[in-house]
Amino acid sequence: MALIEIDNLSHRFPDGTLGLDGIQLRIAAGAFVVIAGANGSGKTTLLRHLNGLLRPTSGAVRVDGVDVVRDPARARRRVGMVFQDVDTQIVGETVADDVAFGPENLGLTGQALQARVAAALEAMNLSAVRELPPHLLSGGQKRRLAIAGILAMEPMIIAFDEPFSNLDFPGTQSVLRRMLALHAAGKTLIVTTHDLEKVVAHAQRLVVLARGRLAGDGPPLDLLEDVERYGVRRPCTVRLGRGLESWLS
Amino acid sequence: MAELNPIGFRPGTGRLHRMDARVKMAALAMVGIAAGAAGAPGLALMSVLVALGIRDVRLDTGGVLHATRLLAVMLGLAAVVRALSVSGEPLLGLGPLALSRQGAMEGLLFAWRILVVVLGGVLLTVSTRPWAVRAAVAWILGPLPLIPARRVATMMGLVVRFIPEILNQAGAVREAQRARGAEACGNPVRRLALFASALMRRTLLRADRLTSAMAARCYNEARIDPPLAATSVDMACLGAIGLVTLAAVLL
Repeated sequence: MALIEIDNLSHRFPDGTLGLDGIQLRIAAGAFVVIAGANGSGKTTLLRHLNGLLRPTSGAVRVDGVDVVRDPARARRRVGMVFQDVDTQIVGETVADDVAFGPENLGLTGQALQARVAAALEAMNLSAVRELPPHLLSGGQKRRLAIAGILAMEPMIIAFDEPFSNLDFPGTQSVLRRMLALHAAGKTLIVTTHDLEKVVAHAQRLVVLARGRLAGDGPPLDLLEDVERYGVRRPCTVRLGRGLESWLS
Repeated sequence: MAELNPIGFRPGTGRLHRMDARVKMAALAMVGIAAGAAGAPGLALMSVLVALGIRDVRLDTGGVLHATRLLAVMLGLAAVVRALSVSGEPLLGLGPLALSRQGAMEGLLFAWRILVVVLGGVLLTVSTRPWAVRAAVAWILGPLPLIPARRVATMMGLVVRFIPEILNQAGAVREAQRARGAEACGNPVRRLALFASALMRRTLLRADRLTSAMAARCYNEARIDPPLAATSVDMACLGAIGLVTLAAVLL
């Protein structure tokens, strides 16, 4: 059984716009999947169905065997989401308080809570700034804080929505390194992006969306020749015939 | 635009930092009540108390003075108004207005009272983690009927968290409008309306995204906040502060 099962998912917005149209997808545990597409292709809309922030107009989404609509709280414990706009995701008045927010919502207290917070801060190299107010952090630190806040909830799946937006080169490398560490630790990663360059070298699978429909699904190298048809630029190294190269090399 | 707030929480290991937030709030209430009733000797005593607190938390007094400079101006104006409204032995004539010795004393005492309370409040915010303030507010509001204490406390926490962000947003909106020649618009009401509508729109959009982000992290009103725990030392300190404030009123 796949960890995430998306069956004929369609979503129509209140204004009548069809955001997703018949998406069929299976994602196995431990996978690293990049979902690419132009702006408005449905990437974020698809992601928000995984934790019940959006409900299907038709079709179904199951996470770990349970329909997300039937039990969104369960889905949210299993699917951690790092939003594109991290400023609105960070709710704590200090870095440590923000990381504690999620576990507190899950009922953790005392030593167990403190241990989770400490571990998440350590994993994201934020221990030194744990007492700072979040608005003083750099863009890369804020992104890492958002990840730490999700990590502290120990989800099985971590979904990143455009994780590299507004990050400089060192910030991008920092976030990418941590994503790879999470994958190596057994997390299932789903990354949406319109900028394949930064991450696709590490993905096992590329899913391409176009106008809410599934336009491609397979190993990245198999799809990259045609990906520009769907408004997604091929990585420069592929254009130059050098195959995929990591931003960490 | 939003910088490290000199009157916001700073980590520390002093007595005040270790004190239960509820005890500190009760102490601040006592100081506030006593300051309203005390004369100059009593205010001097409470000033010593506040000074001890400032030493305990290692307050950045320069930063606090800078952050509260507008308050200082308002206090000065309020003191002058008070001084001019009390009749007595004339000190200075300003046309139809006359400053009396008694008025000057009243004005100074008024400003002194406000300053003691404000500094007491700063000691509370500097030494208390925001979540502890939230928890204390929830505890205080808990017994009151019809008030969703946890929700009010969470809202308070979010206001504190997002004030710097809103200030940043306001700065960004102002700069964007300035870049498009908004200052050339001669009508200040229209300029203000354009600014306010853009800022409101961004703030409400952020609020909507914040709601999604909190839901994604399983926010619910049954969440367990960190517990507050007042110790016997806290209660002893509260007793001592009570005695000092009582003495201040009686002096």
